Amino acid sequence: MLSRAIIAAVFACELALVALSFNLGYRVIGFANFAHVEFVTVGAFIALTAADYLPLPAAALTGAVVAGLLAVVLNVSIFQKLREASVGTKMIASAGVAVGLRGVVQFVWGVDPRRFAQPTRLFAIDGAQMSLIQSVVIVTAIVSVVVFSLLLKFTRIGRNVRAVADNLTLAEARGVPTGQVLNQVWFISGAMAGLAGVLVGLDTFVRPELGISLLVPMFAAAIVGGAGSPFGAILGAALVSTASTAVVSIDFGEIFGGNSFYLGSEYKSIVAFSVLIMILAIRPSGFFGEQRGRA
Amino acid sequence: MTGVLVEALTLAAIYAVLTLSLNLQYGLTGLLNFGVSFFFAVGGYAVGVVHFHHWSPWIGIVAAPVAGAIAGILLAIPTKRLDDHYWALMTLGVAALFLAIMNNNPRIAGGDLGTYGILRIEPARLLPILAGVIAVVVVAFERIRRSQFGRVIRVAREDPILLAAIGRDLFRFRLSVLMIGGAVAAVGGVALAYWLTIVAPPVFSLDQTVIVWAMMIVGGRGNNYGSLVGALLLEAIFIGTRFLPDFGGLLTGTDYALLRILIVGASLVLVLMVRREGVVRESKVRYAPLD
Amino acid sequence: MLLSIDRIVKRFGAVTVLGGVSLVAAPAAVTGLIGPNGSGKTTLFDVITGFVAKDAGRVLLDGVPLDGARPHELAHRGLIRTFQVPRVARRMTLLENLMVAPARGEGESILRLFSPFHAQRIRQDEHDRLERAWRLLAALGLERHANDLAEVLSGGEMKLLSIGIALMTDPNTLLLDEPTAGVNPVLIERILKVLAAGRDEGRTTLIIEHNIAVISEICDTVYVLDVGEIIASGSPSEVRRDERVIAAYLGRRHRERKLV
Repeated sequence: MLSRAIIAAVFACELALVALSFNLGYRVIGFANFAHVEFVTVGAFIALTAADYLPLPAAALTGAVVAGLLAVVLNVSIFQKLREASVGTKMIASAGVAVGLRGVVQFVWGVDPRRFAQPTRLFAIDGAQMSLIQSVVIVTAIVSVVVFSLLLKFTRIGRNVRAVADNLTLAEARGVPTGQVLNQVWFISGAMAGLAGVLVGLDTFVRPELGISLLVPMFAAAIVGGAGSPFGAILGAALVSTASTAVVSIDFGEIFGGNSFYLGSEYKSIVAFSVLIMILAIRPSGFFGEQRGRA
Repeated sequence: MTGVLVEALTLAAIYAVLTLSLNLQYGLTGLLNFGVSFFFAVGGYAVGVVHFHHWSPWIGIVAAPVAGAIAGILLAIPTKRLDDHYWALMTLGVAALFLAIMNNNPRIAGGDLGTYGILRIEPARLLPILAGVIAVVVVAFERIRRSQFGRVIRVAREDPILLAAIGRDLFRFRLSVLMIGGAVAAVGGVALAYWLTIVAPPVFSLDQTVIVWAMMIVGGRGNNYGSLVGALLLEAIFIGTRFLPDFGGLLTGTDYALLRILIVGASLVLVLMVRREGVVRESKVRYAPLD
Repeated sequence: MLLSIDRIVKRFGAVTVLGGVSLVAAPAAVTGLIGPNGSGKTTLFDVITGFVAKDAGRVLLDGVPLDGARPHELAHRGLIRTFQVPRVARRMTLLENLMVAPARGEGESILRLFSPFHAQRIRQDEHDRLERAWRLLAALGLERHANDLAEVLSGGEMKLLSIGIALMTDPNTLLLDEPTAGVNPVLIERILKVLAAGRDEGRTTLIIEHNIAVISEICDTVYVLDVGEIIASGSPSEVRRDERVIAAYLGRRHRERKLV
């Protein structure tokens, strides 16, 4: 039971970083960026390659930074140019970018899954086993979120970001360098996604499908928490992760009588997809988002 | 050489059917359907299920467009409550869910391994059939476009509030379009199943959705002939990659496959940035003065 | 149709935009609605036509309350409105914009579109729409753009087109939001002629306007709305001389917006 909880917590941390950074971006750029999950993939692969030359923490940082820079480059070269286009067009373009990025990743690193050379230290808590990696993931995620909130609250960049997120035109009128701030948001958002990628890579495999496998869970977590609410995304990630882990942990045999019957771990993804559909059907604005849905 | 050409044309024809369907939904009606692979999958799995259970293949072929229309109804219902962009994400979720359900239930159609060994129809025979299907679809869609129905759905695309102001029910028209689009796309799914002789989840992945979107956008959104051009153009590029020099063994077979997906993404973004209307612009419906 | 608005209240958050508005627009008459910017005129239109839900009050057509009916249902019944910023289908031609408007023809149903039994009726319907569209286009002075996409039009021309679209639906109750704003004076005359013709046929017309000359020429009755309340009503000349109205426009009267 505890080991299941640990697994759920680890996935929740990974998903939270991805969804939080997605919601931050969404709040400011105004459209759902499909390429966001590819920042996750790129971060993982860059860190993997860097790990051949650098100690793991430095490699992870490299992965995050490169992902962040990539995000900025994409904004400047593509999304900025599509500023006046409709939201639908921007979404479609981001899907094209996502696919292109995945193609490049596959081209450079190949299609086979890889693993980090990692320590496999396990230690016991309350009779369950927790690996060092798992604790690293949780700690890193928590630290990142704390650093992020401090950044948002106490730095000038954070203030500017909040101003732009609330009201772009007003911020511009007040003299906030919105162009610069937008790029800063892209960087932070991309870097956090990249960091999440390193964590997922450490926890499981580094493979080109990493990003896409998180697409729907990310949307689910982001929307449950309220699209545009970075901290709501944490709640969303916790919910999605708990739900998908719980569903495969229930012994249906016990409930309905008869032999032990568990749903296979493939059902985790079904749960994530279902959560997305259900939340959109019931409450598209999520828990902390602005009231949207059809006017 | 001609064998390759016929093969390429056949695959282009299959994609043309899918692209025509998406053009009706997005190009003419403005529906951001990111789950079109759900429609293809429904058609493909109609064939797959029938084959897996050793029923008569005709059941699958007839059931496919019906299943596609029902899938269309399923996607249409949420349009009543959701903003266009949230609806787009839901279509993504539905497509993923459908595939996941197929993937995890071997008793439906083979689970993750899928069902294989479906009767292969030679390209030389499949191509004329597809050409006929395309002709029928294009004629029908052009008739729709020029009709009062076509005007209404284009107003729905341009300004849903104006549509309400002239007394039309947005939902009713979106429902019709999604049903028709679903049915046509399912037919494309059937063709795909018979072309590959395999029906399995990876066949109907998100990549397929993006490929068809790219074909529609590049070819020209809102123009039925543009959909044909887009399918032909992208398929031609795909085939072209097979004939690239291998730079002294530096590039392998898989690399060409990856090149294709890169081309899909790049062409989509490029067209959106440089010439959003696509290669073939949406043509005006003109009327001569009456005397 | 007799349009009666009975004590309509509409609040957006803490701001009361309409604080109990009542007015009557009679058939075979043109009723004007004037008032300073931000007085709530467009919001009233939104409430009447179902685009925005009211908080209190009733809207009645020939004595029958319209309760919670959706905009497209009301429009289908002949209650048609235009928008302050004109709404047209930009990537459709002017002719198509006009042709789409008249009520549901056979060609609007897919089943009938492909049914050989309906082909003749559909052809006739298309012919009728096209004919009416050409005539209206000529009346509005826009024939030279007949087969051009609506997006090439100037702002004033788009306003004309949007009025044309509304007229094509043959409404029994027509609500126009600033129909002459930005429109060429020569063409304003044409609009007024069309409105007068509609009035003579028994149509109920309610227009939001800022142009005093237009109000004086075409309106039988005028209501003045200021900060969500009707402060005066009567004939155009009566209203023009009303002190309260003059004060409202000059801003000498200070009234706080009601807080809930």
